[in-house]
Amino acid sequence: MRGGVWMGVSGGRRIPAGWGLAGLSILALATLALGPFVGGTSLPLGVLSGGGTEAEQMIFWKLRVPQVLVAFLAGSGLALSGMTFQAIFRNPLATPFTLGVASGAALGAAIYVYSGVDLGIPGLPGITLFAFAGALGAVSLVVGLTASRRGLSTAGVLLAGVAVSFFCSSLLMFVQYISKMGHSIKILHWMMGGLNVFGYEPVFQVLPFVMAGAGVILLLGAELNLLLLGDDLAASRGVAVRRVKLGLFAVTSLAVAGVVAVCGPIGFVGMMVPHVARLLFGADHRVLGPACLLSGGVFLVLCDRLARSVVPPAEVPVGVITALLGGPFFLWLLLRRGLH
Amino acid sequence: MEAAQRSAASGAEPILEARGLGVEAEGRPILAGVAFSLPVGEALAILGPNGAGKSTLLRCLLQIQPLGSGEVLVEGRPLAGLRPRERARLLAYLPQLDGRGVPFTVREFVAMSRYAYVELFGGLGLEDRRAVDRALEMTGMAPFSERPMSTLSGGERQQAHMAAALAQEARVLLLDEPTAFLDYGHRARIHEILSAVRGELGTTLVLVTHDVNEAVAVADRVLALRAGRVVFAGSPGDLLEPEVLRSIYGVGFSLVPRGPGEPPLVTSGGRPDRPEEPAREPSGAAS
Repeated sequence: MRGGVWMGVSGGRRIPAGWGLAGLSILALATLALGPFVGGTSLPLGVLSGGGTEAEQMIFWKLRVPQVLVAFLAGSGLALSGMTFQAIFRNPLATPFTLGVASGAALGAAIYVYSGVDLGIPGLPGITLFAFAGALGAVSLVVGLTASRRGLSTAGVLLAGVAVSFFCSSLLMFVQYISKMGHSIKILHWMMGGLNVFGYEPVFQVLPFVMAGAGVILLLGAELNLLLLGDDLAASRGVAVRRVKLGLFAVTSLAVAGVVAVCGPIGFVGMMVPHVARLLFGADHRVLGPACLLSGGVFLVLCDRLARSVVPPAEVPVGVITALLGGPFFLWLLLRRGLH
Repeated sequence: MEAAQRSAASGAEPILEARGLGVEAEGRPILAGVAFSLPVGEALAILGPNGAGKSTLLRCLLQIQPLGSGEVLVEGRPLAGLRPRERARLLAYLPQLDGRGVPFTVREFVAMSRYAYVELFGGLGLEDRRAVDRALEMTGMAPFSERPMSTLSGGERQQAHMAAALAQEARVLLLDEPTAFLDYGHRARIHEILSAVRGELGTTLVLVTHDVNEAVAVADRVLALRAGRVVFAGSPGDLLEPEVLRSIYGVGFSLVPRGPGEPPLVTSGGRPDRPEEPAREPSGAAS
């Protein structure tokens, strides 16, 4: 059946949900606990209890712990958003990037930096606000372009998404080009995507948006399952399709905006993690949701720690590692479980 | 069982009523002034040529497609005022299969139909499991319950969809060409299930079909559409006139007599009234 492979049915053998999620939770805790010890310089265990030099204390608590936390949140948010888009559009290629949401968010954030203004309400930094507006603008444009004709064909949605994505990216480069020197470098640096955070402010800048998104997405597992059957069937089973979709668009845009505003666009996580999780756990979103949350976080933390360790003191952009690690693993899984 | 008792008690009170339904798409009327009333426990067949608005009518009855004008009443209550879950407990839908994979096992897929009964955070209760089991039994899908949907044949998949619609335990079941593309065996199986559903559960049926013989065999009433308007409404007996059929489809028909007590077999053999339009697959707003 068309769609069978990506939806994770053909392999047949699934990991039992309870054991799988328990294992993933342990892995996630281990990653969060051990992650800060991995990096260009090795740190003694004593930093946990106030030991080590002042520099080591600084590296551990002010750099690595926030980096690990932000990476985990970003990975979770992107993976859950990808999973949600794939279910809503019933298409394996629907991700925050192919739909233009991430580019829209990036454009919004760049415009904020370019403008040099400093606004924002408590709890909602200006850059996230602009990124959110950009993400919502992009997703509205994509949905609006394709919903004018009944049916919302997925090929049409993806084409529109790619068009919007390119348009936003070009506009972003234009904004960067006309920006003042200082702003321009800031935008360029941020565009490369990275998790070079310092201190806890970025953690709290990402946390609420990813948590809000994750909360809503995890609550709507049954609805996402039914949306996989198509809008008509979902509606006939009692899902308030329009309301559920609008809500999901809003929270995924918010989560993507929250992540992109701090980390820049980090590709591949939003597409690959949901697919891998689906191949391992099956397509039931009540299990797949938590699985994406945990494995997205673990995956991005691992990639980020690896990016900082392979050629120290240089730090490879994390996006390079996500694709280098994830690509072959994904192909391997697909070949092993999907194609027979 | 409960449904059967209810239907016996309420007699011939209409369960589904359409009043002046109209839908337009891009300025063109798809449905205009469609009205009917269907008593509890009866079966209505909707006939008509491709593009007549049959599927659109079904989608309007389910409130999947917004109405331009008119209203749908279920048990005397306007459908528009109901919440989606309340609606799903009254009306179930068997759509035309679109050939897309469903990434679940048969049992998982059927269990998802209990959405309208399961509250937030709630799993399937005893009642829900019973409904799922009964639907699997009634459709003969119990032996297939652990099979992934993607490994089923077309006929088995249709039976699984039927099981899912039954597990919803709605009072009215609306089916869009349930036997299209099925072989004779699976077609007979579906008809058997439908008569069991009527007999055991007292479910009211609305069935879109292209097959006049199927309509006559299954339904108590027939509604025929042409270009979005009702051109025939009556009993299957009244439908079985070559002139009536010609007025619906614009082509000649012959009636082949069968044994006593059996309705004649309808075959189309005539020449079309006018040059035939290019064949269109019934899909979306056009059908």
